[in-house]
Amino acid sequence: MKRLLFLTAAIAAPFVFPTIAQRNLLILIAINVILVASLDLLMGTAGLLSLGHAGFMGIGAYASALLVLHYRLPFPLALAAAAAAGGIAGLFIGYPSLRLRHHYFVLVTFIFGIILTLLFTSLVGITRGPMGLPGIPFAAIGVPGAGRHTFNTFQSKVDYYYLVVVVAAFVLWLRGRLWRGRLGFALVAIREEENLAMAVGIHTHRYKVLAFVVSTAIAGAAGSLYAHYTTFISPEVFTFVDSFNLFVMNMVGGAGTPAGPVVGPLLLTIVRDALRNISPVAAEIAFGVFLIAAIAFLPVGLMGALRRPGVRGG
Amino acid sequence: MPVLEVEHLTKFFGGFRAVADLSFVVEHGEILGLVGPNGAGKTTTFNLITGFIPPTAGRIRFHGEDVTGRPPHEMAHRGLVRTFQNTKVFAQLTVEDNIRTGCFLQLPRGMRATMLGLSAAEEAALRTRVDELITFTGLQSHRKTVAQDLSYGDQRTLEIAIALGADPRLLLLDEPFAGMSRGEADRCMALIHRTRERGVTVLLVDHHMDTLMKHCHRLVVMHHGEKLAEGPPEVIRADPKVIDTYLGGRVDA
Repeated sequence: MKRLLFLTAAIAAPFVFPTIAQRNLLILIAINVILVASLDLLMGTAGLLSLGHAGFMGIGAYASALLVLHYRLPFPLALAAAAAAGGIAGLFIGYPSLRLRHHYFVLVTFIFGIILTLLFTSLVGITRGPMGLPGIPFAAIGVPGAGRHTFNTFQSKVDYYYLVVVVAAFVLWLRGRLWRGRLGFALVAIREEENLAMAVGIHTHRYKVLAFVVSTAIAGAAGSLYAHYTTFISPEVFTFVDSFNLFVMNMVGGAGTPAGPVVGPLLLTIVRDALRNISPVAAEIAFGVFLIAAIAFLPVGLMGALRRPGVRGG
Repeated sequence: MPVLEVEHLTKFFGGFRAVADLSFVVEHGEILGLVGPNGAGKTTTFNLITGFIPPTAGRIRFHGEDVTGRPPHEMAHRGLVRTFQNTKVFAQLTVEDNIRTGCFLQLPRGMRATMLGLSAAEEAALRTRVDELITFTGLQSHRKTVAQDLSYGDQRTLEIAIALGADPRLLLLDEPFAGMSRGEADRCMALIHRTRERGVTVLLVDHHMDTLMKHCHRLVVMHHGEKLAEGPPEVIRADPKVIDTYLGGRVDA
């Protein structure tokens, strides 16, 4: 019932908010929902925090953009390749670093995120460095009979918005199902008591790596969706600050709650946009304040405060 | 064939010798007590047997197979499951979900069950198993209680229920009676006896010699990481070395 409500609202949104700026914001919200939902796969179950998530998003964005630019790969394939790239990077980072527990792991993801930003900046031959990659083809989905779309028509934005919503709905669905499978059992057990989890036969490292790879693959896909929407990417949109903002959205919405990854991005993407029009610095300060407020007053987030989080998400 | 064979097990932490050349066997269907004062190396021995730490030297065989240095989850998979000295449960989960998680090894395998959840039939089978364990351990009235809200004694019972979920062949209990009232300890011991009757061999660690004397088939007495004595309670009770070092001097009859 609640899910139906969300879905109806998501479908109706571009007609309620028809201006270019509003539709632009809707697409960014939907992309953030995907990112926060993927982050919450780790946070909301195992309590694992990745502070390098924007880096994995960046890997997907660059992989997808470069494949389309240089090899004229069709967008759906590029999207899949971006997910693969994010997942493979996640495997390489997650396998060694998930041997560490708690804040040691957070530290590794934080450092990795910074290294990635440096790589995006310094590998000028591939990424064009700080100049960024312009001219990424806009992935218009195109409704049959609706004619050719260009980036700036309302119509194409609505198409793209629905594409992102479909991906977001899929990710949220997958997240709900993951909670109920072996992986969900394992991750919750790891959060609650890792040694006991091992003692009852859970190969904790394997399940943490699996969850991390799924999470980073989704982040990679989100990067592709972002790149082929904005048609321009540069290292400064995949920084630690972006990772941190995703974390704040997850905390404010409520980690491990069914609707948290929708509510957090919805609220904070709008707030951030409004504040950015005043001053970009104000937006960052506000996010810091939101995080402190969330931890102090709403440790289970907005959605968690409304309803105690189901321990297995049920 | 013995369930567990410990051969010349030795563990050094830096220069400190926690366990030294310890050998004993656990026979099928018995309750073996591992006893000794605090610091005798009992918990270290547990951690070595269950793969939580690797031994410096020595072998561990489980059902004849060399399992030395294998990781804990693999030990559990082979049927060797432990509890912890300082009670460990999944604190924020209900009793029911704690036991469900304990049944992890019984969950169906494969991509679908891992990523997308259980089918209705699998869910029903799991529920049956959890119900049986709740009844067996007498936790019926606490099914929906969050583990951290349980009394201490009930938490320890839950620990055993979680461990039984993994379907152990050998259950290792690390000081299950610590901090329990007399009544709780008696109920816990009765549960351990019922567990044995299910066909589970039990290795029990404690420092209360009298409790173990009363309930174990055999005892292994440890002192400063070494084995002091091994045998049935009546032999241990009469062993001069045990009397000297552990029971506090010879008592003349």
